[in-house]
Amino acid sequence: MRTARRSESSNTGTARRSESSNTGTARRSESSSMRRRLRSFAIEFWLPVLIVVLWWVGSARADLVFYPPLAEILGRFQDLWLFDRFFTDVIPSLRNMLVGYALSCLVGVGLGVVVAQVRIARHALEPLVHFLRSIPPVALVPIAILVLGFGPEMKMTIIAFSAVFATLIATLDGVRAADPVLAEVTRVYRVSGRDRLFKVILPAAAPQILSGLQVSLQIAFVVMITSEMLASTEGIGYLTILAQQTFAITDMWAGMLLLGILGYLFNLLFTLAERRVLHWHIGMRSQAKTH
Amino acid sequence: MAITSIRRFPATGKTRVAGSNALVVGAIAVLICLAVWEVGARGPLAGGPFPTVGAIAGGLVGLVGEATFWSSLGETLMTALVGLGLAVLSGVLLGVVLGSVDFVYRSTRLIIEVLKPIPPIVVMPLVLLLLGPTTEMGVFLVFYGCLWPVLIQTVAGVRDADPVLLDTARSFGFGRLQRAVRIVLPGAAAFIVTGVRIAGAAAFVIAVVSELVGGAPGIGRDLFVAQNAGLYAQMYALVFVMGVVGLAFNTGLGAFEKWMLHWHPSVRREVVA
Repeated sequence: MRTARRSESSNTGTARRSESSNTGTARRSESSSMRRRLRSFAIEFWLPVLIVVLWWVGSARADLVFYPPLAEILGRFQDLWLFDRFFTDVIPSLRNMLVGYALSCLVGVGLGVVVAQVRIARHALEPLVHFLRSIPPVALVPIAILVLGFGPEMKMTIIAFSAVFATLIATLDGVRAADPVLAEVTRVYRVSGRDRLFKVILPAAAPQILSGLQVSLQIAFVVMITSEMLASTEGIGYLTILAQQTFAITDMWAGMLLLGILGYLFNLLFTLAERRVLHWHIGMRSQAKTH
Repeated sequence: MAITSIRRFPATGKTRVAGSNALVVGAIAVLICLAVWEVGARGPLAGGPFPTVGAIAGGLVGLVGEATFWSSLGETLMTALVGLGLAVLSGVLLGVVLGSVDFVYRSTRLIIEVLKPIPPIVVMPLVLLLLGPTTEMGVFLVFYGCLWPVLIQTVAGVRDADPVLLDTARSFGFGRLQRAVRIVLPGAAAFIVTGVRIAGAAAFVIAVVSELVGGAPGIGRDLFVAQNAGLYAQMYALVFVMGVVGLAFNTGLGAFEKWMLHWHPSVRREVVA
């Protein structure tokens, strides 16, 4: 949370700076801001570029079994994931993950909002939920295999089940922590149930719900990979661990590369969506930070 | 409407009653769930993948009596704690450097941004290839997974250091190291401890992953073995144990955070309220 706040405030800072330099009429300041931007671009990118270049050159020259040339890895990446295995493995993996995650979002937020309103339900559910959340999500995969078999239904179910608790708890806490005066005021003004839900309760709890949803997304991703590594004949995780076990080193690297890219992309997309949903809140937060 | 809602601001005595009520209701709910499970396991789902509550309890008692269970559990906890410790040490050291030297911070920012959201299970195939299904493999994965939160929080904390304090210290002739130890680190402590709590919650989970999927010794591997051997009661008992350990881990970390930061305004305010 704290880091997030920090990066946001620094982002708005740079945005403001570039704006003011754009409106600046003096030519000199424009060219110097241009130079400054180039400089900061160079500072941000020199090391990543250097690492990739070193990896490329080093792995091409050295003849290490476990570190095949990067060019070969990229070639395998293309052949495997973009052509051969795209429909048979990449799509099923993503489908399982997205269906499971969507289920966990719906159930987590829905159940959380309802239960948070009913005190007895909250008291009844909380100990159970906290215990189930404490079980490492991947430990539930063997049970899921036992109960549901090896099919895609098992994977979607276990992804949804493991991921739901983070969202559920965040929603419960978020709704409960919402300003009690807000609840009183909506009641006094007799705001209808639906308006209360969509215009008062959910927006007030949105920051916490979203951070829960983000944790759920990470769990869903890990459980997707685990369920494929432990019990599958298809999927990105399955192919990657199979490649490792059969010493198909280049394929293994290609699999790790794809999983890494997916992990990064999921997080990126979520952050962008979150920023869109919470744009009002982020503004308030950076104001609140000043005092 | 408004009058009834006044009741919703309870006096202190009332919350205590509500608190014990909550415990009772929670306990009843747990008992109901166990009862439903028992009925299901005896009736419609008998013979399936659901052993009875009694059988699971039996499995648990059996486990607790075995020395191998305790050595497995110790192995898992060691993996988690050693990996976490290494991650905290290197994360804080690296974070102080990255946070205090702007050039280094900006040069490495992208790399950290890209690596941070990649879970340890993604790099596991490579680590497994290099280290095999060993404790070292588990420790490395825990280290890898825990490093990012600690590092990122430390960098944020260091960069949040009060510039006036730093200037004052400099004008009093404090050296770089002295400033780091006396001003930057205490200032960043709240951030770092938060990072450690986040990392700690992940440590136990990653240790179990490395054992269950990667085959490192520990209760995760025992779970895999129990599943393959068809020892269902033992399997459920192991999952239960993991839940208890996970709960203890998280509670311990929360207490650790409070204890470390007892002087910090955010914690003190909590106590006052």
